[in-house]
Amino acid sequence: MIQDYIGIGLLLLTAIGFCGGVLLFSALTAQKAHTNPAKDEAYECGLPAAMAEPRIRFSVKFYLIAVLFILFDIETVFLYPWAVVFRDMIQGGWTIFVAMLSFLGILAAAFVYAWRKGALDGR
Amino acid sequence: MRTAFILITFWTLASGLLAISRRNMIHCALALISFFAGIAALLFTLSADFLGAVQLLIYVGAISVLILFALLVTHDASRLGDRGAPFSRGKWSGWMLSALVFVVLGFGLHRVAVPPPPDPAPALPVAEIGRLLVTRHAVPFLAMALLLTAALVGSALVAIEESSEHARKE
Amino acid sequence: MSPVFSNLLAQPGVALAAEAAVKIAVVIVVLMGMVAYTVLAERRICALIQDRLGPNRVGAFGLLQPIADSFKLLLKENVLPGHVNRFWYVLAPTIAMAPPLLTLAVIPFGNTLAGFNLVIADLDVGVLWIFSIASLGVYGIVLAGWASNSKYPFLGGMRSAAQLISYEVPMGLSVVSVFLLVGSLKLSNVVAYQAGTWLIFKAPLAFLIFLVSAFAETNRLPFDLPEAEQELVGGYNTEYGQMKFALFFLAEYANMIVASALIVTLFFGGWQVPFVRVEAFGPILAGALGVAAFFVKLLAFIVFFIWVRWTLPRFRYDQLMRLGWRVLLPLALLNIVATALALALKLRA
Repeated sequence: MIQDYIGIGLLLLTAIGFCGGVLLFSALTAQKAHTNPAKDEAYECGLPAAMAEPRIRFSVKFYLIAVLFILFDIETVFLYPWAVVFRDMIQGGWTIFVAMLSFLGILAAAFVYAWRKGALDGR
Repeated sequence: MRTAFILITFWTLASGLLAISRRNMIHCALALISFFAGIAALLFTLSADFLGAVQLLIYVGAISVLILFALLVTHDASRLGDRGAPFSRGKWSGWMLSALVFVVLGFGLHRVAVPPPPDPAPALPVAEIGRLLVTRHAVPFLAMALLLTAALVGSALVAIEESSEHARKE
Repeated sequence: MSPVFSNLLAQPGVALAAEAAVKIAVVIVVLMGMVAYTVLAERRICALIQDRLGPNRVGAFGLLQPIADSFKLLLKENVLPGHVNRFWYVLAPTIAMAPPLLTLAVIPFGNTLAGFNLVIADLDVGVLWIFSIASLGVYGIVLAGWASNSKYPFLGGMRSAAQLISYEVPMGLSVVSVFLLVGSLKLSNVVAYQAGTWLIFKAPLAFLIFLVSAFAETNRLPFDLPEAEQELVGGYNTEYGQMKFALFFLAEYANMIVASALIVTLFFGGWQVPFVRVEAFGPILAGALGVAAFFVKLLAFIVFFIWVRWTLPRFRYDQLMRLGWRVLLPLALLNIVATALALALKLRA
């Protein structure tokens, strides 16, 4: 138990150290940046940057996708412990199967609604 | 474990303070993510593996993505702060209110005798969580499914109506 | 060994930390070596498929090419464009690189060797840990797109985020049928369960869904829309250069290797050696053979990833979204119900 946390903690420190180290080291070895006005402009295929609007409008469906994502993420999280005990509990009766079937059924209704509404078109 | 707990608590508090005090809304959202991650780390130090992983997955990995999406797809939300945050007028009353809540909670906690927690905290295996979910907590479990469904239907209703109107105009 | 040092090691926490540190060092060095040579393998295999030679001049068969490349990247000009949000711009590659490193913690790359478990942290919530850490990968990309303050990176970042979250759902759901069979989230238990039959034979549909989602999650063709060179000029990392760009590049390949390792562990028996009873060879050789088996399977999958990339064309964005939400997700849900039903009937019979 504690061993696992030591491992994870050390790995986290290593990951931060690795990335930070790489960035710092590369800053030392790199050529000095030669700046000029053109380099400070956003990439725009050679068009003057003034013509480019850096923020573009997005379809509201991006937001809807994120809502759907949360919904099914939560569902997944509940399915995991359920799947783990399924083997043991199914021998005692069908309760565990029915409970999850109704859970999935209710969420499936939401899913079908979103589908019929055209939220899953991808456009 | 206790040292880690205290260090992470400070990290979490600092992120929380940043989340409510920054002017740029994107910065607020990013500080909020760091706050959620801090909570997850706290749960891990309390031997609540499952809850910690869930906190990471749902709050850090999903809900924060929704918040960031909402900010990024909204035109110029990231620069809203530069013109003065919309809520700054109520700043002082907000601080006072939260101080009041803190005092009330602190007083309440002080009055209740809390037994010293075991260190390290006892762990609850994933299988036990699954067992409780379909037996003792089956009703709240299904009620939550309804809640989630309502949330999705609501957001689909709002979002799709708007976009189809938009399409008609064009 | 000096007495001070052995006394220090006798402290329980220190010994555990030392053990973990050694494993981490080995894992990171091996991973980075694999990343470097996967890049080379990709270029050589791509060349083979396109009937070219590929990089073959630096060292024999081009084997020193990765080293030459890293020196080149280190010596490049360190540009910090004037229009970026400096802090987040520099932080984004780090955030992109961290998740693949952290997910490695729970993947067992062998059974035991000289009494040590060959896994950094065998968490009780193993697979859930992987998914929660992998879900953080989206931030590196979104942050890079946003902090660059530039049109194409922003567009690429947003698209990429939508793609990543869309395929996380079928990926997470597909493995539920694995847990139904195994009865545990712990990866060491998943591998132990596959001592007889690999899980791909017991849950083939779950494997298929997982594989497709893994391609999407690692931004590989046919799902490389976040980059889509021809329409997005490279996507979220357009405004990056030097080592900051290299970190994104490394993260992408590290992600691919971790995804392959996960597929091997979940569906192809992990370190189990097929057809041979390795216990007969004694503990040391059996452990070594396990590690070897894991790496052979891993390499096979990496080659498969590369092969697919240079064979299939790219999906269109709406096709991608439809495949994820309208095909894979319902399939994964049906698969769960069917597996549960079959298991219930079998166990109650």
